[in-house]
Amino acid sequence: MNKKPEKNLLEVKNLTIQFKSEEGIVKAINNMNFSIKKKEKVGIVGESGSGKSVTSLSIMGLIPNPPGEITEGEILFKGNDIVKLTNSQIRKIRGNEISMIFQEPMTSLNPILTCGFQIAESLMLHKGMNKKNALSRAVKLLESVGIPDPKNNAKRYPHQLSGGMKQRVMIAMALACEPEILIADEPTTALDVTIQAQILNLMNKLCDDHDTSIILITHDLGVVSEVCDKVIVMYTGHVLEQAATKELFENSFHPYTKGLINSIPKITKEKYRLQEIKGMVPNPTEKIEGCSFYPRCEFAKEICKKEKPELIEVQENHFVRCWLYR
Amino acid sequence: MNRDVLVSVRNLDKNFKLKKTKANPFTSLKAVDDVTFNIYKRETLGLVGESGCGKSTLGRTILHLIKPTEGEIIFDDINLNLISKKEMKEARKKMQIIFQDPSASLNPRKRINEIIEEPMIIHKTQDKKGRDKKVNELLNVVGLDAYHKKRYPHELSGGQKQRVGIARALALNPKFIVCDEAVSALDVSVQAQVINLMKDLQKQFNLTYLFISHNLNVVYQISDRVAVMYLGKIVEIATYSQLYESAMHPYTKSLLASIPKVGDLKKESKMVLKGDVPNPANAPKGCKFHTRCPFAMDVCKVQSPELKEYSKDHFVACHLVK
Repeated sequence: MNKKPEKNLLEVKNLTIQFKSEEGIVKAINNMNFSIKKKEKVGIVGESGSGKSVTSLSIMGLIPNPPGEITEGEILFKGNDIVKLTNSQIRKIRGNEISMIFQEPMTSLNPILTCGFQIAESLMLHKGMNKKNALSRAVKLLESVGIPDPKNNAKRYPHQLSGGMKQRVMIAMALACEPEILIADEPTTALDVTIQAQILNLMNKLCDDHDTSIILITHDLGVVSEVCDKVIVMYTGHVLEQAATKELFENSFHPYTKGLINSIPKITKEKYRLQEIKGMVPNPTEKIEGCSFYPRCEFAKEICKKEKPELIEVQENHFVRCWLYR
Repeated sequence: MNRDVLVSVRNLDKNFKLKKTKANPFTSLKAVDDVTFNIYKRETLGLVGESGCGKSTLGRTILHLIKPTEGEIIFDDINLNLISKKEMKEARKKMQIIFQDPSASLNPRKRINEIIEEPMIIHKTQDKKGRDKKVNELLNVVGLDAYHKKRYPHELSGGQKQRVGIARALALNPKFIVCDEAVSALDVSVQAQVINLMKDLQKQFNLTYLFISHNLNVVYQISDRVAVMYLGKIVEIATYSQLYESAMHPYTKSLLASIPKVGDLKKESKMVLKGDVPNPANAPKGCKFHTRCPFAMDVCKVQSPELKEYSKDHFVACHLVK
């Protein structure tokens, strides 16, 4: 490979994932394309069922098969296709070069192991440290994520910590091996706002310090605008819009993105009536011929019902999947 | 604004007894601590706070779903402490509640029409024919098609289930509805629909809401006045414009600052609070917020500030505010 300065760290090309269910085949992701560079922070936003979490699981090689299957496309991490790797090969990447923070710190930590040991585990596995060194490194990591009295807290069990502290432990664990990419799947959704602000600041700072890229998955557009450089908007497994964060919020094109931004209650001087998007997210087993958003779209035209629009670049680095912009 | 008081909460306390164990040395938890405020007719009073601050307990105590330890609730000129069971049942018709999780608050084995008509059966307000008519009316009012009434809750989406919850709450023509995190489990696009629906219904049926939520944005958009709660205490009550222009309490200010704002890019100098919310069973002495307050003074550690009227309709409990 030639050494370009702006090399893509991760490239997702034409990714299609489907799940078999009793009601038929569900396409969770349709022809998804995106890339992430070193230090870049990408946000994936969407409502429930839009396929944002499936995207993150596929990058970690965690799509359960069966029922899930990657039917098409590739996920290139530093030039290697993750989809084609064997289990033992992917285990060397998972938790080491790409790691993940999950939504609920209560359920994603092991309740019968101490916090310190859970962090040390990945250091022993990936970095070949002995237990003693790994444990003392874990204490340092706990200190770096702002856990008070890290030495004693390392010996405590998850249930002895508050929600915010548990999420700090998760972050310490995810960053233990200094990964190149951190995937954060709704990292602050279960937390109170004042704690959310602490955790977002911490995540931002640590990733800046170590040049870590972030893929942030969330339904909260506010969180995205505080963390990310680039935003991908998903709906029923399709990318509807993709742009730089500032561009997306100031100059969004897709009716869904616009609707989403306007339907969030904001604190403004005068109260106003919230703009709503009519209808609801379609059932994933439902087959929609044309654009998946047309049943809820106020600008829907004849063509929207019949043909799926392509994702096209309407402006530099601003992609939209909509017939209005053809 | 119409200033007739509908609900008056006076010096309300709610203590829960805790079992003393090795892990938990505390025997009681003050979930609601000396709370006093009024809710006026046809207004929406928002109640915000973080998890564990007692906002749901307060909502349920106001409805007497939980008996208060001390203090009283005057609902529609009736002191709920002093009435008999029979009178209480009568009063219950006028007060309803909508819960957070629509899947958990609808009986999975009942059809939608059975769920909505149940309050009318319990209170014997209508005969079968009248109930059927009312169910159709209510479905129409909350924006659900009539064919949904023979369905079961699991066949509906989250937003539709919440509409059923609202229809059930309206079945007895109540005056007052406690909305306990009524839109928190919904996706944003659906959340906006339900908020707008609730605002419309309020006008149509002259309802009074106590709107409980952890989300200040939502509370702000729906409320006429907002009460902010921290560890069982009301720390500030203000109209929405007072809140926007001149929030006084450091906790309210930090709540406002902590909310990630859409389109507001990477701002650094936010007023981010240090530390966690203390254990409510072992709440700090004095002002309960002093352990996290950036402006805490010596007096805050010993003396609990009273909720005082700072300007018209604007109450603050803070030693900084004179």
